Amino acid sequence: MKIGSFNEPTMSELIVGIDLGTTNSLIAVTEKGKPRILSGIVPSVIHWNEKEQRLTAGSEAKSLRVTDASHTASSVKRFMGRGKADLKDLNLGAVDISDSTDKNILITLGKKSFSAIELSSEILKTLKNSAEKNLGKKISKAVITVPAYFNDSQRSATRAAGTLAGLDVIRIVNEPTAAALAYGLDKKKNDLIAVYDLGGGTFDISLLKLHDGIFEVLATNGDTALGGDDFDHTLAEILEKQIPNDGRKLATLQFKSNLISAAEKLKFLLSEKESATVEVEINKKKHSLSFSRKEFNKIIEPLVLKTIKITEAALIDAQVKPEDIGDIVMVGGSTRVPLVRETLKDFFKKDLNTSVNPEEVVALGAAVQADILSGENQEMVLLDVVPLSLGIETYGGTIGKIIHRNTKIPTMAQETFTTHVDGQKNVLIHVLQGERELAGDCRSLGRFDLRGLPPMPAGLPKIQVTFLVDSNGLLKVSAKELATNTETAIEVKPTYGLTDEQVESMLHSSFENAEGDMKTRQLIETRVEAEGILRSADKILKEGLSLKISIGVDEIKKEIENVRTQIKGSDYIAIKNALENLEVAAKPIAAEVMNRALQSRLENKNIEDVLKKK
Amino acid sequence: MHPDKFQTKGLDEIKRATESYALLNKAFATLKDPDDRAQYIFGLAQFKVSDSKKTLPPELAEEYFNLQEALEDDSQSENTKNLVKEFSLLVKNQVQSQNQFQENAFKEWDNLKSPINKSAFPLFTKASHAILQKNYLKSMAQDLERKFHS
Repeated sequence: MKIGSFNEPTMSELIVGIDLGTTNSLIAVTEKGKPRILSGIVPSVIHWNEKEQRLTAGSEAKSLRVTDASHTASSVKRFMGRGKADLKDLNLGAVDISDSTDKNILITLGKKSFSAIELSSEILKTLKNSAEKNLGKKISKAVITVPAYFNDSQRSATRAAGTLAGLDVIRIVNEPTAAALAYGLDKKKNDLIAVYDLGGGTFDISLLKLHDGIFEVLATNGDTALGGDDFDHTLAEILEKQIPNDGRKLATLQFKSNLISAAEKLKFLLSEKESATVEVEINKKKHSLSFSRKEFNKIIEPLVLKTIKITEAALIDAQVKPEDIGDIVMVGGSTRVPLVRETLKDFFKKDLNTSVNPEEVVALGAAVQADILSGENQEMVLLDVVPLSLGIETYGGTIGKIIHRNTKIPTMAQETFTTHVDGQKNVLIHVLQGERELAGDCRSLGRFDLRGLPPMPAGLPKIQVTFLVDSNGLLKVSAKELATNTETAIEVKPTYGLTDEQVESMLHSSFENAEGDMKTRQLIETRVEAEGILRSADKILKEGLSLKISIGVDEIKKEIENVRTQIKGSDYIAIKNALENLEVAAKPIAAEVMNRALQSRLENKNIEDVLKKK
Repeated sequence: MHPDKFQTKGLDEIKRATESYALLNKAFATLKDPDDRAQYIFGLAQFKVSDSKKTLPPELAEEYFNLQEALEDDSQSENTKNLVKEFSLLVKNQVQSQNQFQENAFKEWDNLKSPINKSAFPLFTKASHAILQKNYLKSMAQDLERKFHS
C-alpha cells in the first residue's frame, strides 16, 4: 500500500537515503551524481514526554537520557523484528522490556509501552523533517539501510517503521553494500573488496567484486547482536565493581544508564590514549573511574575474535583467500577502536582502507542506490545476496532448504505440496530462515495457510508454491493448485512484528496523519469498491439478459457510465454518490434475477431438502 | 534487465523484471557451479545417473580405520585431533582429483562440440562417477567431523 502524495501534482521524484543506525542515524540525497549528507548526525535516542504525551527523537532526547533515563530509549534497533524469546541473546542495557510479547519486544517508557517499530519511526520522522527543512521540499520516498545479516522479520520491521513515518520505502538495502557503493563511486577499477562493518549493535562482513560499475556481492555474514554497545556493556559491568556499594540500592535504570554512558566515554578516550579516567555521578556522589587500554583490549578481545571467525566463514563461502582482497573498507563507529584495527590488519596482512568516514558512508551509499532507483544513475547496478538460507519445516521437525544463503537476489524457487487427508481444504506451510538443521533452531518467519483447495482425494492435489525473494531481500509467497489450475489464497501469519494491517491502523490513528492523507486513502478505497460494484452490475445485466428480464436496463447503463466518469476524478464523495445511484437503479433487476434463481433451485428439490438446509 | 532499472515504471513491469531476473540469476548460478551444471546437462540429454558403487579409495583406507579407532578411544585427545586434520587433508586432495576427472570429461565433451544425445553418454558416465565419488567423500568427512565434535 502506498501512502503519500497520491494526487499532488507537484510531487517530486526525489528519493532520500537513510542510515537507520543503532546509535546514530543519518539522511542523505544525491544531486547531480554526488551524494551529500542532509543534516547532522541524529542520535538514535527517543524520549517520551509523559506530560505532553509526545515522543521526540535525536539530540534533545539524548540529552534527557542523563536526567530522565526511565523515559528514554536507545539502541532500539536491537529489538527490531524480535520477540520475547530473543531477549536471552541480547545485551539489554538500561531498558525496561517487561511488557514484551512473543511477537514484539515492547519498551516501557514511564507509563506507556512502545514497539521498536514505533520508536524507530520517530527517528525516521525526525530525519525526514530536518531533511525537508534543508531541501525546502516534501520527501515521500526513501531507501533505508539494514545490516546485511538482518533476517526477513527484521527487514519487514524496518520497512514498517518507514511506512509509519509516512515514507514509501522503495528499497531496503544492506549497509555494507551501500558503503561499497559510496566507496567505489569514483573508483573505476575492478577489484575484490571486503567491507567490515562494526556498528553500535550489529556486525556485518561483506565481500564484493567490483567490475565495470557492477557491484556483485559474493558472500555476506554477520551477527545482528554484536557491536560497540557490547563493548560498553562489558566495560560497564566491570566499572560497577569499582564503585563502593554503600548499601543503597543501585540497580536503578538511571544508575545503569549513567554507568553505560561513562563506559562509552571511556571507550572513546581509550581509542586516543593509553589510559583514561571518567567521572560518574551516582546518588549525588561523584566517582572517578580509571581504565587502561591494555585492560580494555583484554575484555573486548573475545568479541573482536568473534568477528574474525565470522569473516573467515564469509571468505570460505565466497571462495576467496584473505590475500586476494584488494581493499578492506572500514565502516561503523566501532572500527575506530584500535584493537579492531590491529586484529584486522594482522588477519588480512594488509593496511586497512580508512579513507571514508565510517559514520557517513552508509547513508551516502543509500543515497547512491536511491539515485540508481530513480533512473538517474544508469552506469551502476547492485547485485546483492540472501544472507540466510530459507526453508520449510518438514515432517520430523527438520528444515528443507529451498533457497541457500548467498544466492543472488532477486531469486525464485518452486516447491510442490500435496494433501494427506481426503478432502483436505488447506495446507499449512511453516517458513523458516537460518543455517541450523532443526526447525526449532532456525528463525520462524511465518506460517502460510494455503486455503480453498478443491476437495480431492489425499495426495492428488499438486500445490505449487513459489517463493520469491525480491531485491529488498524480502520473501513473497504465492501458490497455485496445478491439478485444477486454481490460485490458492494465502494467509500469512508473521511470527514477529506487526502485520500490514496493524501498521496501517497505527498510521491512521497517529496524530501526524493529516486530512489530506485520509482523503487520498478514501479515494483509493472508494475506487476499489467502485470497481467491484461495476463488475457485479455487469454480471447482473448479463444474467438478466439471459433470463430475458429487462426492468430498468437503460437506467442501469446510464448509472454505470456515470460511475466510470466519476472514478477518473479525485472526488471520492462524488464517486460514492454515483455508486449509490447505481445500486438503487440495479435493485429491481437484481431482486428479479435472485428470485428466478431461487425458484429454479427449489423446483429441483423436494420440500424436506429445503427445510433441512435451514 | 535488472529490476532496479524499472523502478520508475509500473508495478507490473517491476514484477516482470524481478521474475525474469530471478530466472537469470538461477541460470547463472547453475552454470557457474560445475556439479549443478553437470546435472542440468544430464537432464537435457535425458541421461540417468546410475548409482554406481561408491568405494573408499585405497589411499584413504588405512587412515580411515585408524581414525575410527581413535575416535572411539578418545575423541578429544591430541592424537585424534591430528588424525582428523590429516584425514580431512587427504579427503580434500581426493575431492580435487575427482574434480579434475569431472572437468576433463566435460572438456572432452566440449571438444566433441557438446552433443546433447546418446553419443555423449560414455563421457557423462565418467563425469557422474566423479560427482558421486565426491559426494561420498564429502559426506564421509562430514560424518567424521560430527563424531569428532560430539
